[in-house]
Amino acid sequence: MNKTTLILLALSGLLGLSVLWSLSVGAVDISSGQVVSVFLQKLLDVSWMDFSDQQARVLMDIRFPRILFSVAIGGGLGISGAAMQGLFRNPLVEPGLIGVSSGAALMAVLLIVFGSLLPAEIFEQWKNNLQPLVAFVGGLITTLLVYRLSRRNGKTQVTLLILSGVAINAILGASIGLALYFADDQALRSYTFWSMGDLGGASWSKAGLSIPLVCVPALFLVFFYKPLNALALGEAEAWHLGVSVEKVKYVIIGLSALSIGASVAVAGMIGFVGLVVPHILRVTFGPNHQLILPGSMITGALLLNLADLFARTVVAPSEIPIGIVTACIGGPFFLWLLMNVNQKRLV
Amino acid sequence: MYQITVQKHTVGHKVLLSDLSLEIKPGKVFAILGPNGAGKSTLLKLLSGEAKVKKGRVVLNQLPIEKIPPAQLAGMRAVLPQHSQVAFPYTALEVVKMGGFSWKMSQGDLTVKARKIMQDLEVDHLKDRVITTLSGGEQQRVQLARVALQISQPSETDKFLLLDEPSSSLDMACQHLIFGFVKELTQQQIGVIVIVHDLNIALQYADEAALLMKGKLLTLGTTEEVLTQKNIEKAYQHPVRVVYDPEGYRSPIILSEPKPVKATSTEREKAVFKD
Repeated sequence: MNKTTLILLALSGLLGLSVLWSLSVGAVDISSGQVVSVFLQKLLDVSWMDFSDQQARVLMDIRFPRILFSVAIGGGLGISGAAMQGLFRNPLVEPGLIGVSSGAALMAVLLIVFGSLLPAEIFEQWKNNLQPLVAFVGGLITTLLVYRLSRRNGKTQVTLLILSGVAINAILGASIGLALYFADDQALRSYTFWSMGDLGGASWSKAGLSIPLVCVPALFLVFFYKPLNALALGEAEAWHLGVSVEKVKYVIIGLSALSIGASVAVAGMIGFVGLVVPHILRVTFGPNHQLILPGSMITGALLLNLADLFARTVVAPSEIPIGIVTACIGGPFFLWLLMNVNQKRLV
Repeated sequence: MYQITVQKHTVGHKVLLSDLSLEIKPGKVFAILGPNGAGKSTLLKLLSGEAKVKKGRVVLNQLPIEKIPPAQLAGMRAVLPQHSQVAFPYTALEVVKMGGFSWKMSQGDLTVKARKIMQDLEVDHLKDRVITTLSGGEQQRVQLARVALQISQPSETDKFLLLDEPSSSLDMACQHLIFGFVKELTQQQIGVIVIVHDLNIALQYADEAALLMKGKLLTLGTTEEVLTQKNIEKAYQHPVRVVYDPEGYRSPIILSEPKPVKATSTEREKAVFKD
């Protein structure tokens, strides 16, 4: 077995442990053994340890979907961040750069603030799914716009893409501000929480659509390790090596936008995971995307799972928005990394 | 075989190349010579397919170059740019192995091939070093190993290696190491097309040469035919002397005259006094 497989297996093991741990922690006491036996009972009809019906319900209906969301979204953010840093050959890139988060945010805020203007029956009927849906569409439209703006003579200019991303983000930021200006206190509060990331709404009814939308594009990204490695040499060099650079660009941007768009839509904006996770892996194991891509997915899932555990337990029964946790832990940790790691391994 | 005909190649309103026609066969070192701004790099970009010629055509192995898909093109020609910056801290061996991108070969076999080429270029001992920590000459040799690996892919068609000033800013020994290596590639019927600034290096290694001036072809032929005093002075606008080996074994040597330094007023006064 080679080194890459071993590292990935080890990371997956850690993820498994963290999932098991977070399944057993919460307002209702459920031991790890009971967690395992609930799953054994449900899946294989094998009984091992005793558990109450109430424990099983809490675990399966509340805790498990939430943990599934944290794992899926963390994985999506991690791998999208890694793929975009590789694609743009820039270690500072984070997924929000292509406008997907701010586009989703604008649509979400418009719905929160002006949603009451919609016909009441539509609003009631779609209440739970309308916000993720419009946010998702908003994210994709913005990405498409940024992508179109960066095309010149049939080629996507990376500098232009980054700059138009910055400009579009600024415009959308201002529009969000303007919309919030008209908001009442309730809407303002609702937007604030959404913008800081929130996994509290996770449920099976939302999982059916959003988990595949986050995960499937993310899983496809894993197969792009070879062109991403070649792209580190430069775009022209990669093309000389036989990479269909333009195709790779739009596929990777498209897959990342789908995955991030879906995650922003259901959980709001969760910063820092997409930026920091690829760095941690690159510093520890080197830059080869064969490891970095799946590794970022697993590590992103692991970190977001732990952050969510922290967010929902530290001030129980209340919750801290998860975006605050990721930034509070991620920021200082990233600084520590910058100070302590050999500069040459970083970029 | 490479066939390029350029009626006119423009970028914006500026004409970069015009009235140029070349046929380059494999198995030889073909030097592209000329002063700065003569259109050498543009010509190389047209040959590699990176830029599309505005009026004219580039044909590689009987196929119009823009019709060849990137993966197939990668088996026919490899390109070494003048400078390349690797974005992430890859090791030297990883960089060389990227040359095998369009190969269908296992990682293990690719490593063996890559290390063989790295030994020839004397960089095998650096294989686990991060590329960005290597010296300029070492990085250039690693990059050359990468394109050499790319072009060593077995193929039915003619193969070419395109190099843009591979040894500029490198020391003498390193220069000869690189040119010696590419010269050896021609024995495997690979054509080497190389932009050279050092005319003596061109005389020592290139079989044929094209001398460009202001976007036009000034002369074409064997390197010794091209690099005469008259041609060089016309293209570079600088006085030179060409010294031929009296026994005729070695290639001639080109000596460029130093630019006369303007005399100071004191010197001029002294000169008057001497008279």
